Amino acid sequence: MKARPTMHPSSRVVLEIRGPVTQEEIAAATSRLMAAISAPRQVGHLLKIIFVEMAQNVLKHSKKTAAIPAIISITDTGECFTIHSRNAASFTAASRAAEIVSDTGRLTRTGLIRVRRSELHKPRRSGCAGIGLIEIQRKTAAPVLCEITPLPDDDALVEITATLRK
Amino acid sequence: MSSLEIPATDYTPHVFEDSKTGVVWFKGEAYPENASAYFQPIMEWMHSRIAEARPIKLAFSLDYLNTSSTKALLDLLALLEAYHQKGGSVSVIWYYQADLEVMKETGEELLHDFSLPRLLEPLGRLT
Repeated sequence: MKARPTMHPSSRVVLEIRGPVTQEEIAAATSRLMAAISAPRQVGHLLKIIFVEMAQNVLKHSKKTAAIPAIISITDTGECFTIHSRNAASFTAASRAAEIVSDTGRLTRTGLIRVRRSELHKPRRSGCAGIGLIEIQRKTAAPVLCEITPLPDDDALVEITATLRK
Repeated sequence: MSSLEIPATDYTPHVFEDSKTGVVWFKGEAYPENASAYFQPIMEWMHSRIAEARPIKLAFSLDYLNTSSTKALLDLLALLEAYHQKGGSVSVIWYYQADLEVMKETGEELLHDFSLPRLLEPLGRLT
């Protein structure tokens, strides 16, 4: 299944950041996002959660940012927000992300809460976006999509799309 | 023991001990890039307080915390749970905006696996 969002005629891009992503840029973009959207407060908060987790995932795993700038965008389609990220990462990290998205996409809300709690109590690991992806999965109405495309040097292009209903 | 005072940034909370009440507050946003490093001085401060066998009262009034910060707070609560199990006095208040059910759930999930005395308190509820 393709992770790239479909653009509807009435769609509006409410946020897009490109290039090497920094923590300061994520914070500034979060403030811009909260000021730009028109949605109930609870929905706005969920959008913030998904955006920050996705952006920090990109921040942590992006590689080759000069050649392949990371992109994070949020599109308002009228009924939903589509949150999309695209970045290069190591093939190992990309494959693990796809595996987590696939495994958790089948879980119920209760199952996602249980898995998240279990992961949170495990020792810290580096190189994996596991809990953040689980958090995104449980905040969305539809399963998260993840597509990976192999790149040279044992890297991969990762695209992740989440949809939040208003 | 020195007092605890960490100013807020756009993505980290104001953490401080109220000198009048002794309550340790966490206020604002909590989504640092490296939560483990951010919370390290707070953990060290808590260790010092536990070594002095002093009561610990925590109050959280967070707008948002990311998963990395959630994990760091679980480590902090685990430390306090061990202190509580040995007879130390610990209490936790989790404040949340009344119209943000998701932040109430965050508090409930955060404290789920601990026996610490706690209170979840809504803010700004319309009457």
